[in-house]
Amino acid sequence: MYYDYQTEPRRPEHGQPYPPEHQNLQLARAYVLPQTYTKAFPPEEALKQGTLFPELVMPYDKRH
Amino acid sequence: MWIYEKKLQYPVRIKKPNPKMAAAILSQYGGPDGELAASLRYISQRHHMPIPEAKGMLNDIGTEELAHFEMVGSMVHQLMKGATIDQIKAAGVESWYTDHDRATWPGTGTGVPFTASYIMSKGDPIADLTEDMAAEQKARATYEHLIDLADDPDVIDPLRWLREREVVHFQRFGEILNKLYEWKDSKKYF
Repeated sequence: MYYDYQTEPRRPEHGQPYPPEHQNLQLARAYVLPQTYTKAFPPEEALKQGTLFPELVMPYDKRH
Repeated sequence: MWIYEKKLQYPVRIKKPNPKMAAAILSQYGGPDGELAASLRYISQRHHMPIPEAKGMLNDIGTEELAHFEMVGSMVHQLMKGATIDQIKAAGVESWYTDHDRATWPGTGTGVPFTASYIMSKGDPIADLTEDMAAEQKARATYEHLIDLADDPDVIDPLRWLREREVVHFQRFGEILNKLYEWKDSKKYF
């Protein structure tokens, strides 16, 4: 389904692992899970979706 | 400096005029959470970032927001182009016609002009990136409101696409904020 541009070993498919430098989280700070590369859309599909990365596709359901 | 490409980042091909929808969408052109505000915010904040990754990200996303400003302007233009006086009156946008004819203008559909008060450049990298993440969320929410109001698939599709870019930018700014905290913590040991 996805064209794979990956050249390095694949990371776990499910869930984004925390790199070691982010294990020491502190209070009163905002954190976003750092994205790690898993797979990519082919260029035409990426343009259509608005992102190269399938895991960042988070569509909105229109309210009626 | 910039290099201009004479095409939109994502196509906008609206065939049916709709002055009411134009007035709603104009907010993402020159309104409080619009693309102009986003671009000026990031391109201004870029200068005082302490790490090259933050400078680069703000410059890249600020540049992309200008491309979105152009897309939203095209949407507004295509929605107003060819609208009859009767359609403009029926849509209740007589005040737009009075001041601008059918022209695209950086403000809101209710006539509030663009202002730098919408944005901040505080000089504190953590505060600024936190604002940037909030800005992406507010823009995402605005696009969702606009999608709720729209019926024409030619209007909904670019709105959907622009909304997705807000999600991606939030992720990128979040990653930069992580790096800024690392930078801040590393300073304590020198």
